[in-house]
Amino acid sequence: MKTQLRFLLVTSFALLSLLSTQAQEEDRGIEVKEPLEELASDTIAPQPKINKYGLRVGVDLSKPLRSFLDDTYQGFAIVGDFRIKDRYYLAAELGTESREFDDPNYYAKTQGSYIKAGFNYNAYNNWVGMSNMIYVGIHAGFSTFNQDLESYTIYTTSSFYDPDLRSVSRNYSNLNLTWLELQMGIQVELFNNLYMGINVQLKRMITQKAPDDFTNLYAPGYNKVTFDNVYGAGYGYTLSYLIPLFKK
Amino acid sequence: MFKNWILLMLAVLVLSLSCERDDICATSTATTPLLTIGFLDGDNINETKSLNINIYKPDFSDSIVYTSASTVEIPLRTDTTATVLVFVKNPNNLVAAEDPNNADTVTFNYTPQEEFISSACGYRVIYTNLSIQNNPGTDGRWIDDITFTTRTISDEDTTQVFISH
Repeated sequence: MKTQLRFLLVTSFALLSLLSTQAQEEDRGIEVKEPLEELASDTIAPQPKINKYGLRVGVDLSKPLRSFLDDTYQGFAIVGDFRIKDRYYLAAELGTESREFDDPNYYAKTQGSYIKAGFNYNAYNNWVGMSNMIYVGIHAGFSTFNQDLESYTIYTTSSFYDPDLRSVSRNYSNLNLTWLELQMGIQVELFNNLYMGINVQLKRMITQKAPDDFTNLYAPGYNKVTFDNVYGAGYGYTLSYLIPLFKK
Repeated sequence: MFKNWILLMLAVLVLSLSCERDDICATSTATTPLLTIGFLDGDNINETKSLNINIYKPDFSDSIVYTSASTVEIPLRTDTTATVLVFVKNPNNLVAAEDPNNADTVTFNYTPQEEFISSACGYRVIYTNLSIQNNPGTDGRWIDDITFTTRTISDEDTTQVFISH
């Protein structure tokens, strides 16, 4: 309980400091209760090997679902994690995405792929034999992509002349973007070794390579790149299977 | 614990969605500038002199109307290097004695330069190397002189051209 509270505190502070830079003030409404008295057992019994270790692989269901619902989007991603210590997991995600922007000022398309890797920390105290997760993780992301600018209209406040539409078909290739991401989520074992998870992601852009005479509108894995702002957000909805390798 | 966690996740999601920047180009953003023309007194060019003026496209299909204005803002074409406009002073005033209706055809020549603004606004055009020719037409000229404070039009904060009459 203590570690959970400490962890909650740390994450809320981390989040607050992240968010305060965007000048968004909001009461978070999280109450931290006094820890209950800790119970200690007198004897230490030898523990049976019940904690499953292994490789968990799955897909991010939100991307195919969004591809189905949103005509301007296509995406697919596989996710995986590997338990390295009692509470620590190595985690990675590989994906590909494309997104169309039918803006009044331009028509552009971004496509590419990304990789994310990092650590997850499980803050949840499971009952014996269970292996659910409430976790927080720090991930680093790298996205490489192309952008096609098909056409654009010169922006003007005057409607005296007809819109100046320019069809160009410019291709900007070898663009990239790197970011750090704070991920929070849960993983619940539905059936034996089958897990469902949801997570939210707060991202901070570290570097980007953008076109000189245009901008990065979207980066696969990072999502929408906002102009003059280094923060991004995302979510995932995963279904994965644990390939058990050994028990501890 | 579980409840707190779900609440925290929801809070983060809501915050992150509400933080998403609007895709509407802010009106304060400098986009394609209009050309600002000030009117001066031909007898004393240190003084402004207001007038009633209609500015027409060459085919008279559309117009910009100003009443007793000392400055006017006119759009220049972005898709070509010249804009032709007909400046009609004192429109509909046909009494010859007091400054009658008079049309001068003004040609603006410039080099349009394309610039990227932002993802919300897209591209704009600024104009450099501005020069102006006046064709007085059959009814004579009403424009005495044209002076420039700058030959580059990149914002709407300055009056780039003065016309004395």
